[in-house]
Amino acid sequence: MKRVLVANRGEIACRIIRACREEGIEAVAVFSEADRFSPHVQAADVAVEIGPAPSAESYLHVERLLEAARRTGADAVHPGYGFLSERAHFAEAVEGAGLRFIGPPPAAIRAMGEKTEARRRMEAAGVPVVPGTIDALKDPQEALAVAERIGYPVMVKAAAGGGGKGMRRVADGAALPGAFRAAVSEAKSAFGDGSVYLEKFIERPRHVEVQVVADAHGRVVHVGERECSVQRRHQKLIEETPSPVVDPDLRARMGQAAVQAARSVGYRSAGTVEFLLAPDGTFYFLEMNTRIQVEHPITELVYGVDLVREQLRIADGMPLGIADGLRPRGHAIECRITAEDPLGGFLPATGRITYLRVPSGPGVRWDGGIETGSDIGLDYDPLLGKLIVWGESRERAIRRMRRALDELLIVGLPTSQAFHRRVVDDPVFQSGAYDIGYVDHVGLKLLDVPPAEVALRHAALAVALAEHESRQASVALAPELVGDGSGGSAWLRAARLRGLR
Amino acid sequence: MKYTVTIQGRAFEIEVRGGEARVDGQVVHAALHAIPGTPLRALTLPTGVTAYALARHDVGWTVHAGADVWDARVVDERTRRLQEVTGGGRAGGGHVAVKAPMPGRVVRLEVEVGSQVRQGQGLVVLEAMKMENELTSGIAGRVTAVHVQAGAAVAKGTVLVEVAAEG
Repeated sequence: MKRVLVANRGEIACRIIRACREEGIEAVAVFSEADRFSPHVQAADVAVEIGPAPSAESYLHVERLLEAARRTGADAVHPGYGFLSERAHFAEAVEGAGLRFIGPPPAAIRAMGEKTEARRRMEAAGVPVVPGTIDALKDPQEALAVAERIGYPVMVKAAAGGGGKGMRRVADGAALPGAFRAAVSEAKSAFGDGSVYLEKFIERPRHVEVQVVADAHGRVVHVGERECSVQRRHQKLIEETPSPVVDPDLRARMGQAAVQAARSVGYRSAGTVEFLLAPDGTFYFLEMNTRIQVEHPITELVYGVDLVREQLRIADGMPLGIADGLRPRGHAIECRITAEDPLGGFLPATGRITYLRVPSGPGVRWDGGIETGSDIGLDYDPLLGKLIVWGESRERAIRRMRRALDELLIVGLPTSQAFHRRVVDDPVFQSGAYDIGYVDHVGLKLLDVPPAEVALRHAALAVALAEHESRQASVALAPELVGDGSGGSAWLRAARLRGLR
Repeated sequence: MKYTVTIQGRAFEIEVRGGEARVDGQVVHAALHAIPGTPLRALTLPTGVTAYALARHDVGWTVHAGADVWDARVVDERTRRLQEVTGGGRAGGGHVAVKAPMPGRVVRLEVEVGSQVRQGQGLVVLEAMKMENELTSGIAGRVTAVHVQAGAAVAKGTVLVEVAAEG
C-alpha cells in the first residue's frame, strides 16, 4: 500500500492524512468546489476536485471518487466516517476497481448496516439485545399491537437510520400513530427507505460503546469502552473514557460481547459496538458502527494506541499491533466543537472563521478541520474540530478540559464551546452520575443561567468604547457633515486625531 | 457621550469622555486597543487585559467573549429619549412573525390561518442540516398568516407564519 485516497473532508480527512504521512504512505485528498481551500486539501500529497458542493455530487459520488483514485494511482481508499463509510456498495465498488478498502468487508457492513438483520445476527450470537420487533412494521395498527406486548414507553426507529435520525420515543398509545408516521416520513427523506421498527425504551440508560479492532488473520481485540451519554437529539457532544460506571469486571463482559458481535459478522479493521447500559448494569446491543468513530482519540490517549494507523496496517495485511487485555491509563475527555449556537437553541451557525486560537500545552490534543479563513456553510456536518484532553484522573481531566476550553477562541460564528464550558463546571457532570437524559434535564438548563454580571459589564464597556471610537472616527473623517461651523473646535480636533491614530 | 448597552438582557449605562468611562455611575479606568492583524480588541482594566472580538452588524455588535457569543445593542442617550417619547423599538400589540432561523426546506405546516395556538405549540417543521426542527409559537394566539407551503425552500429570515396574541 503506497498511496491512499481519503474519501472524506474536514477533521477526519486531516486525521487520516496525518496517519498516512507517519506511515510513509502518500495521501490523496478529494474536495468539492466548496472545499478548495480546506486544510485537508493542502495537507495531502495530491488533491483532486470531484464536483460541486452538494455531497451527492461530490463526497457521495462513487464514480468520481473511483475516477480520482484511478487518475492519481491510489491503491487504497479510506472512507473516514459519515458519507460512504458504511455503504457496502461503496466498499464493493472500491474492491471491484482493484483497490483496498480500509475498513471492514462489504458483507460485515451490510450485516450491521441493516438494523433488523444486525439484531437477528446478535441474538443468534448470544449478544444481549433490547426487547422489540425484528421485522419492519406495516402500519400504526401493527405498531400499537407490538407496543402493547412489550410495554410502554417504546422507541420507534428507522431500519436504515443512524446518528439518531428517524428515532422517536413514544410514551403511550395515543402518541404512537403520529410518531410512527413522522418516523416513516423522516426515514424516507433521509435514507430513501421508510421501514421502521419498534423497541422497548430503556429508562435512564447510559450510552456506552466498545472499541474493537480485528485483523485479517482472525485476531479480534477490544480496547475498552467510551461513555457517550452527553447527547442532544442522539448526537453526541461529549465523550469520555473510562466510563465513570464501568468497572474492570463489566468492562471485560462488555468487551467480550463486543468481540463476539464483531466475530459473528466476520469483522476486520476498527469498529465500534454500541450498547445501552441500564442503571442495574444490564447492557443491550444497540448497533455496530462499521467505521472509525469521531470519538476514537479518547481511546487512543488512554490505551496508548493509534487506531487509524492500525486500520492502515490491517488493510495492508499486517497483524494487529494491539495487545490483548490492555488496561486504561488515566482518563480522557472529548468535546465536539460544532457550528451550532447553544445560546440560540443549537441552531446551525454559518460564517467565516476570522480568528482561531487552538489550545495546547500538557495533555491537550486538537483534531481540527478548520483554520482562519475557513467558510462554514450548511453543506456538510457541523463538526469543526474536537478538543481532547488526557489527565491522570477524571477530576484532573475535567480541570484540564476547562483550561483548554478557556484557551480555545473561534471568532466568526457561534460554536458549541459555550455549552461545553458550562458542562465542565456542572456538579452533575463532575459527579459522573449522568445518563442520556443529561442534556435535556441538566445540560440545557445550564444555558439559561445568565453569565456573570462582571463578565457582561466588561463586555458592555468594550462595546461602548468601540461604538464611541467608531462614531468619533466617522466624524473625524467627514467633518463637512457636522456643518455647524464648529469644525475648528478643540473637541473635533481631538476626535480627528483619534480617528487618524 | 452617554450610551445604554444592552447585552444578554442586562442594560448598562456607560458614559465615555476622553480616557475615562463611567459604568452605571462608577468611574472605570479603561482603554480599548485593536490587536493588529486580528479581529480582536484588548480591553485594559486595572485588573487585567481581556480580548474580545467585536463585529458591528445592522443594529448592534456581535461580541465573542471567551466561549460565548453575545449580541449587544447600543443606543446613545438622545436616541433613547426619543424612543421613549415615540414608543418606538417596542414590539407592537403582541404580534409575532416566525422567521426561518436558517436556510432550509419546509417539511410540513402544523397550523393554518385561523388556528388557535398555545405558547410553545409547533407551527412549522423546517429541515436543515438533515434534521427536522420544529419552530414554535412564542405567544398564545391565533394564526393570522401563513406565507409558505410544504416543500418550499426558504432563505434565512423568511417570514413563515404570523401569530397575533388574543385576549
